[in-house]
Amino acid sequence: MRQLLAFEYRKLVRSKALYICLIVMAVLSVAGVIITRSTMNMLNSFGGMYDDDLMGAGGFFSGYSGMRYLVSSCKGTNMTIFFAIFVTIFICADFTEGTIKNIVARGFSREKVFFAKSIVICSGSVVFSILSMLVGFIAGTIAFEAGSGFDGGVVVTLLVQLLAMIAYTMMNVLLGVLFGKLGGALTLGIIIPLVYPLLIQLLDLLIVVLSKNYDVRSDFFSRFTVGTNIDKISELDVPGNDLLIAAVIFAVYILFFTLLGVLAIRKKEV
Amino acid sequence: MKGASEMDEFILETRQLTKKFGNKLAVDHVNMHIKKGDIYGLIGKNGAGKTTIMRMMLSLAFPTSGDIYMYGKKITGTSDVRMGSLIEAPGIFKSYTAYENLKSFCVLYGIKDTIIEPILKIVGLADTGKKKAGQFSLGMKQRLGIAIALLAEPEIIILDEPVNGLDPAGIKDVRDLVIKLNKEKGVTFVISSHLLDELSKMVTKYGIINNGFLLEEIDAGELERRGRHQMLITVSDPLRSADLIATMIPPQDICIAGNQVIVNAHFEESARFNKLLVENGIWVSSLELKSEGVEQYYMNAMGDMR
Repeated sequence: MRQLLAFEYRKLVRSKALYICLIVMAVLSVAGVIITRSTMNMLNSFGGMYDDDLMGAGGFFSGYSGMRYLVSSCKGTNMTIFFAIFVTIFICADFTEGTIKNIVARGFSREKVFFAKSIVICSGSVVFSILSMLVGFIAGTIAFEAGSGFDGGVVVTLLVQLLAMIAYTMMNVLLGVLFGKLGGALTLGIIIPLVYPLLIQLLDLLIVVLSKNYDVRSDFFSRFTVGTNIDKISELDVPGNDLLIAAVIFAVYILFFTLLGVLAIRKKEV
Repeated sequence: MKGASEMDEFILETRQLTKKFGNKLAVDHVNMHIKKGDIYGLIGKNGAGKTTIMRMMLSLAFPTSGDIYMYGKKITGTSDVRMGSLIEAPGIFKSYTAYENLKSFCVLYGIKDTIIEPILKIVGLADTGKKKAGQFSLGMKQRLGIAIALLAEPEIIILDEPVNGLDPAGIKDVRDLVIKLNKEKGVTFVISSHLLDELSKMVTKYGIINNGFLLEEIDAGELERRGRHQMLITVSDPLRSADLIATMIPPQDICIAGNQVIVNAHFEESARFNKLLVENGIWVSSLELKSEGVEQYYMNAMGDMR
């Protein structure tokens, strides 16, 4: 296992896709902050409003700060797209280049290969997410202010967010193993996080319509999606209960994708 | 029940190896026997099951039934097997150099990278420098694939169509490499190829497969002995020559092709044939003994199946 891990880490640090995604992610994060700050500056110049009016309590840009960008950098479709790209490229590389044959033929079990790949790419995703958070924090601090309230609660929030990123990663690992070919895995890796919440919302709507009971919760299913929960915990001062529920849901997704991945690779002829 | 020593005689053995894809029987109860030091040529037409057998030997595909043994011990997917392989296209990182490719697999196999330079020299890739494997010619990629197969000093190397798409020089390079490793390092090879004449230059034992069924295993020497032989006599007057020779041997052993008289068997009479023809004023340009090659033997074996 140690040799497999060393082999996979070696590949990860040499993966161009990882660095390209990191650079694009950083550029997009900084661009997002710049656009927000520029909008604020425009309002200042046209409306004669000052930073205190806009960023103060009740202001349109109230609460914008490095801290806010820190806790919200993992939400949104950008991250799911980045994960789809670099995770599937990493996982599919051995299948498309045929190097998986050199691994399996030497007696390494398929399960060990799966876990080695998963551990390495998950650690890559964690580093990617942390860097995304840091870039968001630095850019937000430069454009607005550092903000306050960094405490144990924020650390726990960030750790739970990392669990969500691992869940996305494991979904893409599963797709990579199932397809083996980059095209299919990448396409589904991008589409599923976009379409799945919509289908779940439709299902919720259907329940309400069928029951004709408009008191039924409209988020009956959607409260269990990764997207809903990551949105919920991408704030400062997230209630402990929400964090706990989100952590359990993310962990269940990780376990689910891992189990499916192991089953898929066990049956896979390479 | 076989004794332990009899079982261990074979470095690699398949017993009743079978593979089905849906309802199609791709490999049909194949029993192969490969001895240490063999260069075993697996021959058969496209879709005969050669690659599937090799993939199962390497645990890349799962047998529907039957087993594979190495030194009498059953191979499972996680066995500590010292097998190198080149199946279909070589498994290489195209964005790495030859050295980096081997370095990565040294890390995987847990071996020191001091082995890399000697192996690159063996396969003739020592001078490729910073050139990425993706820019290599097909022959160079094949040799890099073989270099990866050579890491960790495998006892047996399985090569599937290793000379496919190579130019004559590349084919010779691979052949020389196989013979060199077999002679100098005692590496056992299992090789499949469509180029039967090329294969015959290195193989010590053949396995002939058709529609997933192993028709025959035969040593190269035995194949040579069993092969049909013919005497080709190139003469100035083939018709008269054939009549003259027919006075010495049964006419059904003689036929004519162009300016040649072809004689089946009776090779010990070659000097007397020559004397007879010359005494009757016929010019004999050449007299050669030709034996049936592996290709003809294979075609005959396939013909017997029809």
